Amino acid sequence: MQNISKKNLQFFLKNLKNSKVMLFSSIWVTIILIMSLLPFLIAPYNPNTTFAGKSNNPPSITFLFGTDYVGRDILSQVIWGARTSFFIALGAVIIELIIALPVGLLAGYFGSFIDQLFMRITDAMLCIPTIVLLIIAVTLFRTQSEISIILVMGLINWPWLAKTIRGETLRVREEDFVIAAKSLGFSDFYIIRNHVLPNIISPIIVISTFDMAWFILYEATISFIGLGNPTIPSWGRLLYIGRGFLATAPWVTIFPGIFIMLTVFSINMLGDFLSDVLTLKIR
Amino acid sequence: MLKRYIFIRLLLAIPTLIIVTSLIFLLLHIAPGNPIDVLLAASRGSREIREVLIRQFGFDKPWHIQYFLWLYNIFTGNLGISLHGIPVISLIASRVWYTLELMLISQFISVFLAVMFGALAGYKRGSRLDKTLTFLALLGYSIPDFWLGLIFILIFSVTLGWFPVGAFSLGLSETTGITSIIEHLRYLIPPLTVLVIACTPYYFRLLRASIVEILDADYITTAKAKGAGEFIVIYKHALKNALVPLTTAVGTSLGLIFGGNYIIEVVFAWPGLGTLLVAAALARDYWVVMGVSFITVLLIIISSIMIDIVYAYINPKIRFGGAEY
Repeated sequence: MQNISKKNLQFFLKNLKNSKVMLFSSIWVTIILIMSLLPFLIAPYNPNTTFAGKSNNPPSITFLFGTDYVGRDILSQVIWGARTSFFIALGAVIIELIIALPVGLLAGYFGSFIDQLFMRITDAMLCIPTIVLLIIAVTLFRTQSEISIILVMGLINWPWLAKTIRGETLRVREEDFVIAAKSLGFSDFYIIRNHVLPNIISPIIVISTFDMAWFILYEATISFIGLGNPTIPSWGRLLYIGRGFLATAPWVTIFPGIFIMLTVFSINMLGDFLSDVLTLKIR
Repeated sequence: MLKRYIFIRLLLAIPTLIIVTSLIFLLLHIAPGNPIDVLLAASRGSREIREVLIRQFGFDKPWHIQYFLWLYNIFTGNLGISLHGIPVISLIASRVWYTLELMLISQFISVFLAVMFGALAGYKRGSRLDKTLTFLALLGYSIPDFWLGLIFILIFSVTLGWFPVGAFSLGLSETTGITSIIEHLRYLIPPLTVLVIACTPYYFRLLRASIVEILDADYITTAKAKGAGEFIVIYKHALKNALVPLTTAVGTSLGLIFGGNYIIEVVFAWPGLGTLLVAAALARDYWVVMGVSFITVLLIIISSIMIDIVYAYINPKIRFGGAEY
């Protein structure tokens, strides 16, 4: 195990040297992580402090990214927004894993009726545009809180993850070591935990990474439509505010958008990298 | 055989539609608050008016009865009435063409561009052109489409003034003939451009990957050995096979395509189903939300059937047999 992780690390470092894009993505994700863990240390101001007479100020030395219509510092809001985006995305991934993991494992491992029922539901869910369901759910519940956005996103997105987990479980189920374990009389639970799960963990990690990027986009979309929590700084929220001042204060729109773009880009790059390392192994 | 296939697919669509609509109905029902109260909050209506309205919209019946009544009414072409008393079906009828227009044109252009550049990049893999295109696609893939819309408005509408800033007025246009077409285009081009930029990278990546794979295949070597020109090799032999995974991708991402389309409609205030849905959801207009969701799912199912037919057409290995589905 240690050997493999050492090899992975070497592969990662080699990749960093060869690809500038990869290097950039790693640095960017690290920056975003630091921002979301320690925003109070980095942000120059409190994101909710309104500076009197400083509304819609263009970028300057005091306000690097400018200010919004009530005179709040954009840079500080962007830094705190990283925290919102990151934790909402992480929360949603955890929720979707909690549901998709048992459903996918059971459907794939036992097959038959559970599988049929589950596949029907998944196919139906695949027909609804996720964002449509999100709009309906979030508006109707007047949620406006991060917890409900996390719950709704996790609850809506799990079928896709479950589908992959089911497929992987189906593949592993036919492997010799599972058949051997069965013939030795181990319980189904034991086999799933000790033989199936460790063998399907790689695609799960890869998909969860890509889903992080999706959830950051979804959260931004929801907040952009005006359904986010107005008291918490978020990238999508800034875009919602900025939309009303596009002509007079374009910086409110430009900077958070660049942050969303670079973050989604970097996470996708890391996801690509992880899928190379984990699923294909190192050749 | 084809007719039979379409018939069976449509039959299979019925349980899907029932699952989806009952799920949305359940969501609407468990949400706190009553649409009538939202409606009356503005006009401070009396208790009696409230009772009358609740009965008129059918909200006094138990929720499962409400759902089955709604389901039954679909067969008579009645999707209920909006809170403003307009039949939902006519609301949808006035919007659906705008959505379809935007979506069909943008998908057509996106696939066309992706095929052109994807084939080129895949054929010249490793070249500077390939690297540039791949990088651009990766970047385009990560841009939130609604943000791209805002930037587009900022540059081309606000700063340069090429396109109108406000909403497209629905059916109120007084101009006719060529001026009205130009006016229509001025509103259509911004959301169209953004959708094309948002969709093309996705298809491009797929097409490039499959072209790279296919160019190693034996029949390509054979075609080259027989002295076929580069153009023929890429655009006839390779492309025909590379289109198969692309078609699958379009089919499985229909939900994303519709969703993205709706968001862009909201950004540009394009009078399609997306703007209707968001407005209705905000006003808790139950039957409009149900109607738009139903039509969306129906459109997705119909598109997926059409894509399957195209799929069979470009991939002769697949035939509409009896047992596969």
